[in-house]
Amino acid sequence: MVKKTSKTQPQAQEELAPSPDSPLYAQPKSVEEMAQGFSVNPDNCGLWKQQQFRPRVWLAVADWSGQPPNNLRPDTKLGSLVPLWGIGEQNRLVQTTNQHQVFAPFASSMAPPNTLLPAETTVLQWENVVWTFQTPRTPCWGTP
Amino acid sequence: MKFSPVVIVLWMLIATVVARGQGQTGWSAQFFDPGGIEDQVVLIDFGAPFVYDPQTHLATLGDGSVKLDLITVSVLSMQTSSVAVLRADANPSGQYTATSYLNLALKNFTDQEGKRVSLNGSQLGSYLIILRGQTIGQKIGQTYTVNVSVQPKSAATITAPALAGPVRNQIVLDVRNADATAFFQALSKEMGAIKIEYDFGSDSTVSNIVTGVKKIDPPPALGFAVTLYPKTPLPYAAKAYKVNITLPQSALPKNLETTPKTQFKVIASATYPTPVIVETAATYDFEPSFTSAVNKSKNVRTNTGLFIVALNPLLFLHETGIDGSPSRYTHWYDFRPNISANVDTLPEKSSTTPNRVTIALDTELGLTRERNQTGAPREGGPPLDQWTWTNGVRTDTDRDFKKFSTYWHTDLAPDFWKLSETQAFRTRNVVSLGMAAKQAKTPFVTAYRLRPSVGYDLGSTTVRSGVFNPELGSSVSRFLFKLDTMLEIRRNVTFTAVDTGYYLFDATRRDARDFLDAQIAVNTGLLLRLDTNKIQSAVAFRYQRGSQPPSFTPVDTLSLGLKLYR
Repeated sequence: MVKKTSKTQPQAQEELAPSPDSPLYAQPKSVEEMAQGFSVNPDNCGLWKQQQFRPRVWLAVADWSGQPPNNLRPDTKLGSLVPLWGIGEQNRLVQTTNQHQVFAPFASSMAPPNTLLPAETTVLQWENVVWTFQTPRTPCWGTP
Repeated sequence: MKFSPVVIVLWMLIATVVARGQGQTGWSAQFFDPGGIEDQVVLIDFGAPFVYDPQTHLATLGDGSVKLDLITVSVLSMQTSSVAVLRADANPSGQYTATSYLNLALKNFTDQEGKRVSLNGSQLGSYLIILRGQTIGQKIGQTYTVNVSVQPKSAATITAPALAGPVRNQIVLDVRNADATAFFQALSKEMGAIKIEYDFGSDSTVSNIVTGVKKIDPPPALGFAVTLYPKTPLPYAAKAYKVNITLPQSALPKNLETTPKTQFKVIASATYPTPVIVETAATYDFEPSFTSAVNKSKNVRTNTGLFIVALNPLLFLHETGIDGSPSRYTHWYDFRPNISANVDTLPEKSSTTPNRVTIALDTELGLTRERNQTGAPREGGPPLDQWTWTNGVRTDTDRDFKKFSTYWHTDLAPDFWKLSETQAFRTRNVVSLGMAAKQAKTPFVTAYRLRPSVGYDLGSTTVRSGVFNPELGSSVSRFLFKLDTMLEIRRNVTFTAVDTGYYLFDATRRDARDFLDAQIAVNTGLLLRLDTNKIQSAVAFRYQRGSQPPSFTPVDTLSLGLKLYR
């Protein structure tokens, strides 16, 4: 669930309002609630990455682009989702990704990439970019 | 070795299944054992999300090509001495909308007698998962198979996940069933013995690169991965290559699955194609052309060769305001040296082509601003405006380097929401999950650009030989308005028109000047089929008219040439 963190951003927050067809949004949980019962081991991390981290990243991409989530594919290029891909759009995608708390239950967020990614970057590659730029590193760092 | 009749029958069953079934490209499966036997899970990834109907238990793959029946899923244990058929419960997982999921979870593995079976118990190795379904358009049901391999739980493993951009200076080692912190400490002591080899393959003309490690990061708290920082960053390469990490034997966990005699090699794949930066695009352009130029003073038309070169890389790009916290503004700055030449081969006195060589040392300061948006989110996200302010020192000279105008240049260029749209955006092919892919959308206009800018030049002109033009004088003080437009039709034909109007404050007459550079380019595709950094070629028809610095001589040319660009 997206938290309102800035009073100067009421409109941007409305854009990230819960999607009605998204159960992840319909039943929001706090980071603490999500952390309960999560024990760190490579297998749990693998499951968490596949079942929670990845769907959140996809939802963030959908929110950022204004596309229905069902329209995304692993090979969908980020540059095809906005009129002009650039630093501004990449930054907005990082912001949206962090607003979706993709690393919950860990208190990590995505640091901005130190380079402008090509417009050809796919949603699948973006997942890896988000994972690579986790800050601070979660205990699940290294999960393939 | 003797096989029982049951085993032989089962092997025949497998052979039949594999022969009739389809081993699917792009499908993969991973085994997870987070706790006890009841928690064991196999996750199947179909290469794309799928839509699941809980009423019928049917999963429709993303491209709508296959419907899978998830009521019955079988798992074949592939042992050399025995074959067992297991059952599993299948449920979609990785949900991200009400009906769409990223993977399929298999749980509760039972044998023929209904007893719970552990996949990494006595039956180690490889399993074949059999799914039943139907390819859309075919009447007969089919079986689909996907392999999953299971490692012994007690044995330690060290693996390196596949490496891909944009980070090129770290390699992660995933340590399982062993103390990663102890491994890190042992590895740190023997850092000099770690060898990393970038192996481009025997068919590559590039030599392999061997390097060492300059730093090792410990695993995060409670974590299990060690991060190596190679001395030589992972290089860009057109094709994927191998990274061989050789670790000293003394640093390895004792319960490693295979005990090496002296060294242990971890192999990872690396994919780092040369990146292509699109925004504030670096441009490289070479265009030799056959040109017909009009000399108005002599009232004659002359044919000549015209050569246009533009090298405009983007260097030292820095971004600010991109810490991921909510903000409507982003800034960036960069350095953009620019060398461009537009010269012919005619004698100086009779030449009426632009004959301008520009060397520029520009810096750009950029700002993006997210507009307030009312109503529902729109396609392409909220509107984003961009402003680019360029400042730099430039030198204009004629072809023979006789006159030099050296000046400070500044200009401001806005890119408002949808004043420009890229080809990728206008030709995107978005289809809802579970639907057959439509034919790629190709609108009539596949890209366009409308980019106005205003600027000012201030400097002076020096003459190496000859005399000053008395009309222009020796100082440079001019306002300029530039309109950069582009229209791309059906991906292949591009109309470009760049018009620059000058107001010369110090001119004694004709203080308003103008230069138009219009072009029609027919794209002839990528240059050869080699990895030439996506250099493309086009047949270009160009029209140039007006006058431009430094000499502001009248230009009226028509050119036909071949354009090589990126």
